Amino acid sequence: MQALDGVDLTLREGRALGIVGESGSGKSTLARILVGLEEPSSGTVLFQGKPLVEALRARSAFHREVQFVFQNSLGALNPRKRIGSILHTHLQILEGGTATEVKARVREVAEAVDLPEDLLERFPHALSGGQAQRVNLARALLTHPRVIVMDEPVAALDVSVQARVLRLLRRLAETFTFTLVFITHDLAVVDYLCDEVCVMREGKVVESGSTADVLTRPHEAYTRALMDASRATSHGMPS
Amino acid sequence: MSRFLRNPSALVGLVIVLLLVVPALCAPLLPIADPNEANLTNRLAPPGSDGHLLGTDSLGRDILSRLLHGLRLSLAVAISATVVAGFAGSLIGLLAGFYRRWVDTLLMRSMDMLLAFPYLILALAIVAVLGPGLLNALLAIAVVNIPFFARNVRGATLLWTRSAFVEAAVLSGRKRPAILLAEVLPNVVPTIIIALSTTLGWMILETAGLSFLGLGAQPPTADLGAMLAEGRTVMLVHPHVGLLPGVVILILVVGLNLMGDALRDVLDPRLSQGVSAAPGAATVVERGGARAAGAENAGPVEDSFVDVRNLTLSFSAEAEGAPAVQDVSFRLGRAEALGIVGESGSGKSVTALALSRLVPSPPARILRGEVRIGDTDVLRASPSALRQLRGRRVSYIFQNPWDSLHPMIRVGEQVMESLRLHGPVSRAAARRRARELFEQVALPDAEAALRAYPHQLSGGQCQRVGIAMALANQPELLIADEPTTALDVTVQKQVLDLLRQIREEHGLALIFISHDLGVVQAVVDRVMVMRRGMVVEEGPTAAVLSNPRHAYTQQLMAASPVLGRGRKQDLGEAPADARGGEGA
Repeated sequence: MQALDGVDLTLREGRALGIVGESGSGKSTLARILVGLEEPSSGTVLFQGKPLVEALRARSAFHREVQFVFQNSLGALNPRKRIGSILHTHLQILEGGTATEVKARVREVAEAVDLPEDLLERFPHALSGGQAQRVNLARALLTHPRVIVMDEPVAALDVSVQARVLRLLRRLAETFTFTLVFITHDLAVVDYLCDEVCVMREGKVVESGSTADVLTRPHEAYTRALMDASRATSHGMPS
Repeated sequence: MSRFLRNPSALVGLVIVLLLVVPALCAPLLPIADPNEANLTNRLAPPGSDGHLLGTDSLGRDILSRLLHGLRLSLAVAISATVVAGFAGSLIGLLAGFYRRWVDTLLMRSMDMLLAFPYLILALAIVAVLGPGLLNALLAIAVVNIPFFARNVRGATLLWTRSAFVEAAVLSGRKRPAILLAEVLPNVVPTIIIALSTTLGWMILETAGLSFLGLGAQPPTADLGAMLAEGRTVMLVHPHVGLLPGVVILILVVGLNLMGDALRDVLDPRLSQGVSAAPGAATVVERGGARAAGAENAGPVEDSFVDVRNLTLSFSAEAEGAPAVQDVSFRLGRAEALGIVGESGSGKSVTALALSRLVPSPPARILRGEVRIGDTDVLRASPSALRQLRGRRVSYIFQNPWDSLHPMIRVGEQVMESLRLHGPVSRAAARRRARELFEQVALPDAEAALRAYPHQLSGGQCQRVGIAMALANQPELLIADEPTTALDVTVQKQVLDLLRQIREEHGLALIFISHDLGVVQAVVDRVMVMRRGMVVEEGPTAAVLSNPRHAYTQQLMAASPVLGRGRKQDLGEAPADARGGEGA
């Protein structure tokens, strides 16, 4: 079975790209290929002009530059480790440095994502969904990566918690300057967060371009169907 | 640890084991006779005789002393064998489960080879090759127990290796062996400890077994099994010689197993909630003397089909803590649709389940209020009246369409069963009706869908089956709990359209529960916003959406981004207490 079928995509540094699709569209597979968790059966991914396969030979160097945020925020945290230790190890392995340096950096990034300091002492099960996802954001940000890929990072959260994480993301994108690849099923979130959008269906790219262009003048019927579905279930009055 | 000690069987086991193990460990220091000092003039003295508390055996050796020394030996052999088997088996299981592929095949197939021989025969064969003796017996029972550890640990390792935090560790730059040791192993340790503790008692028995057959401890040293064998020869005349070691083995193994079981209860995450009492058939109603004002005086109100007043439900045993549902009141006309909106913990689903007393008790208790559906006073209804209500007059559609269908039964059969459960209907008639229902919910190719298993249908199709099943007995009230949350957006829209259409055609009352105001407004006339068990706002959908009065409703609306508003929207500021509520 082919999860992805001839996907071509270019992403410029510093931009936020939303990849939108429904289940089975291959959006998650694409995300996992981008961060080196899976290999494509054919085709190449170039990162900074170099094939990803080559970049992955130096895994640590690559993951300093490219990070990933999982949808299952709690599942991505080892239940037997304290939050502080999870963040500490991540930075220690990828960048090294003295314990004091690492500690200072962990504290700095934890603050940037609004994590109270006492939370670093807790185990993952003592966290709410929103807190767990902010820990994942903090981990991804620790090494100042150039690219962060996020797979449905807010889909499992309550509406007001989701709003908080989205606001945080926009703020972080300004202070940390990273290229964002945001995988979602929700066009409205892309509209809020992303400069560019890529609509996928059954492993293929249906339409892509700047968010403003695609959402005001969609060329493809499928994009329009997605937009209609989103509007039909929106409480927003025309503004 | 404290949870372990609070467990009564753990405590009993611990006391038994300590009572036996402590004297055994101290045996060389105790003022007792040399276990191997024979005295042929004082053979087979009965218990209680002078200087020999438990008597002497056929060579005149002190039984108490031999018991304590024998127990020492048995424990040493059993513990060593457990550790050896546990270490080797866990290592094999960890490697096989983590590296998979050829490592898994090679290791687990060799375990299968060990398992191909009957347990005791294999142990006997090993001793036969190596020669009798305690050390060889130890090796034999360790080897035959390795597969048990390997299989248990492999299963746990497989499970944890697939979890997201292992992939996260890859992204943290960890090497494979480090992931196994630092990320996976700590999570597998409880499984290993459980296996160790449940094996120990077994090992005692096996050591005793081999020694009993003369393959373990060699005379004059004796472990419990060898003593049993010696006692057997004088069993009829002097039963105490054989009985005493037998009783010690029995008590020790029972004690060890009690401890092992308790340890498993504490460490096994699946049992960590405790095995709670099975919930009863209906939510318990415990309305105290003080009734809520106005709850009692009025009968059913004209025109309202569902009438809920001051419904209060709590999950905690004591009065402390806020109830999960607090003073919720609403009414619903015969063909009306009400949306209940709230975030997790708002009590929206509990309210819906409480309408037909489906909230599991224990722990739930309804503390206050009235619930009427049609002419039924739900909180006073008899079990048979409740059965009539559920599934027939009130039916539910749940969030995950796959979970509410039986995976091994064709969906057509399932719909037919729910039809025949509530009335005498022939198979053929039920089948016709099921087909009719499938056509009503617009399942493409209804005939094929009848014969399909749930896994052969897509999420949207499964939810349509769920809706067909809910409609089967022509309910008067349909309660849909997040029916579209698990579905794709385009499918969600189709299912919402279907619900709206069904409502119009059947004229039934609908309660639609969702975390999403946008989804709810597509279907309902009135909307009720809940938060932390309480209703914060209720009114006609259009009015609430265009002019939300309560601050929480406003926040909820500001929180979800709207297509077409782009970067202009600020998604609102979370209210101070909502932030607090986000804490665990």
